[in-house]
Amino acid sequence: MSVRDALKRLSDSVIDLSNLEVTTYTGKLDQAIDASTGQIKWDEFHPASGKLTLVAATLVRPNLNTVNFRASDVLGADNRVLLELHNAAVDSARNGRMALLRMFTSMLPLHTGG
Amino acid sequence: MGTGRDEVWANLAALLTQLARHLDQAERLLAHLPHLPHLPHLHTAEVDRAEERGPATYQRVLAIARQALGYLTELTDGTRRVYAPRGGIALRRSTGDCQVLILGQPSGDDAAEFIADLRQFDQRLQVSAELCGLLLGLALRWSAAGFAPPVVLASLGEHLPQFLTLGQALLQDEG
Repeated sequence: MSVRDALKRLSDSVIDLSNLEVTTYTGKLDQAIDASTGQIKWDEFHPASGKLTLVAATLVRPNLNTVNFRASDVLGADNRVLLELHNAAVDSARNGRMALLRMFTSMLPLHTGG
Repeated sequence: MGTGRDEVWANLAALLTQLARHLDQAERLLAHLPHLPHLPHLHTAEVDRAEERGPATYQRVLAIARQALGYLTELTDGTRRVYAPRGGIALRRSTGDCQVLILGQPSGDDAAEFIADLRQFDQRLQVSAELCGLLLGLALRWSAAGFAPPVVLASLGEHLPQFLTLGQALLQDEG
């Protein structure tokens, strides 16, 4: 595959970019770490898994409409930190997507000019 | 998890692989050229030392591009940041989703440090994306010209200031 083909594939698929989901969990170490490998079991985190507690979730739609969920029983006055971390992750996830778009916009003048 | 997102990230990874190959080819080309032209015209705020206008500047620019590719590849591999001085804060970002795990009770200072680190990483990502966009434009030209040395040199020379300026921003972010 040439770089031009790879670029076309990426350009075609970018329009499929769908919702952006950010989820924040809290819990105990033994609930989150695989004892045999010492690695975090990321793929086992689900709101209904029952192991960890979902603190907050944010869904950003392609049109930038945003849906937020906050677990009121977890997020008391003492847990402002959890929400700050969740909000920072939402910003970070948006930045990840922005990086992809930035690559396209910075390429454009060279591509069209070349 | 949507397959569309997976496809975007897989296609981005494929594109970055192609870019890395083009970078390799350009590096080999420059290494075999007997004389690289000096760049007396290159005067920017970032390039104020005489040696930086010499032939080594070409290699430096390619090294900057490679570093940017590395950062962007981290995005497609699934970004992971772990911070665990006392409690534990971990983040995984992949294919458009982002998960945060908080163990124990991190303090406000812990959270602030983690957030600062995350923002710095994201800034590097933005600069890297811009650099990769520039490289992509060049790679298309090089490829179309069959990597003819005059085209590679001229196009690199034309965009050296942009690469060096963005490279400087990347270095500053690394602190």
